[in-house]
Amino acid sequence: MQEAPIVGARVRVLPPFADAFPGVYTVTEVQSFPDGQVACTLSDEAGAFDPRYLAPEEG
Amino acid sequence: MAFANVDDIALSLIAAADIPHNKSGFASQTIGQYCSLWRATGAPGQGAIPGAAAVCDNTLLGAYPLPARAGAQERVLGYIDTQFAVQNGLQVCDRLAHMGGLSGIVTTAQTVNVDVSVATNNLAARRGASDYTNVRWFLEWYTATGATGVNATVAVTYSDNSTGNIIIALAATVPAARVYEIVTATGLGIKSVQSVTLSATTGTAGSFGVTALRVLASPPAAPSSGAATYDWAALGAQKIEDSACLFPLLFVIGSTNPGTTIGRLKIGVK
Repeated sequence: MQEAPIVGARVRVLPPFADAFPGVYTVTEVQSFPDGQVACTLSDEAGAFDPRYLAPEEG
Repeated sequence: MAFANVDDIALSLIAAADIPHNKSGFASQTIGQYCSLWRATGAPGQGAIPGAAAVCDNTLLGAYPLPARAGAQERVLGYIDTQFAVQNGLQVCDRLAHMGGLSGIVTTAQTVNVDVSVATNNLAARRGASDYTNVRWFLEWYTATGATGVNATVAVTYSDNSTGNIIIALAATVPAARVYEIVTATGLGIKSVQSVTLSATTGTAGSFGVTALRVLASPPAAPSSGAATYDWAALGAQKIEDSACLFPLLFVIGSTNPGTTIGRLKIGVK
């Protein structure tokens, strides 16, 4: 998922973080930074992830 | 000649020179976590922020001086006294190896390559048990990273040459001097760290690295303030190996601003 998900999207976490974050999470916040990077904060206090480490739930 | 009995230790401490400890503190630390004093100013002097991976030794600025020994003589950490304005736990560690220059805004794997299986600078003796279980690994902060809380995946190689990823949840705005221990649940010691990958940008580059150390003394924490003294028995009569890069680590107890710590060490030689 290189394209940033929107708040409320249901996502899975990809390697190398997948083993520690199994299951499906909800995107609760999407932050955009001046250098063009994006950080998606996930539910359940899972922390923030770059879109490269996220996949849509159905994917 | 090596230590043969308690009298030898006592006599060696009478002859031992004071090794001064007077280190400034760091703000915004976390109670119940570690704070590295490697970069604290004072005595010993402020250690440098490391660059590429390197094995540390006693000649680095930031290390307590090591008394000389000859032939079959040994060194024993025999005495510490400390005075705190607020309560902390003081640990004396041998900084085995370190690297720096990791960024809080890079989300691809960042190369570390810190390896304590090498023999450089007497590491074979300094690291203790041959299965690496005496070696403790940390992410160490040199300048604060950004306000977004992320996860770090640390790629490690264990003592049996198997590999794994260890996940560490990083708080928002990790301050300078904060250290996160890289804790393995496998029961295996870690002999090298290959890379660190952040799950997202923290928003600020900052600067952090990976440090391998061996805790040599972890005496009981001092009272809420005041002074504490620890003799050779409380310190476990810990032998100090050649080239040991001795430096202090605080366990933060009384305040998020641990403040200055003052005191001295004595290392007996026999």
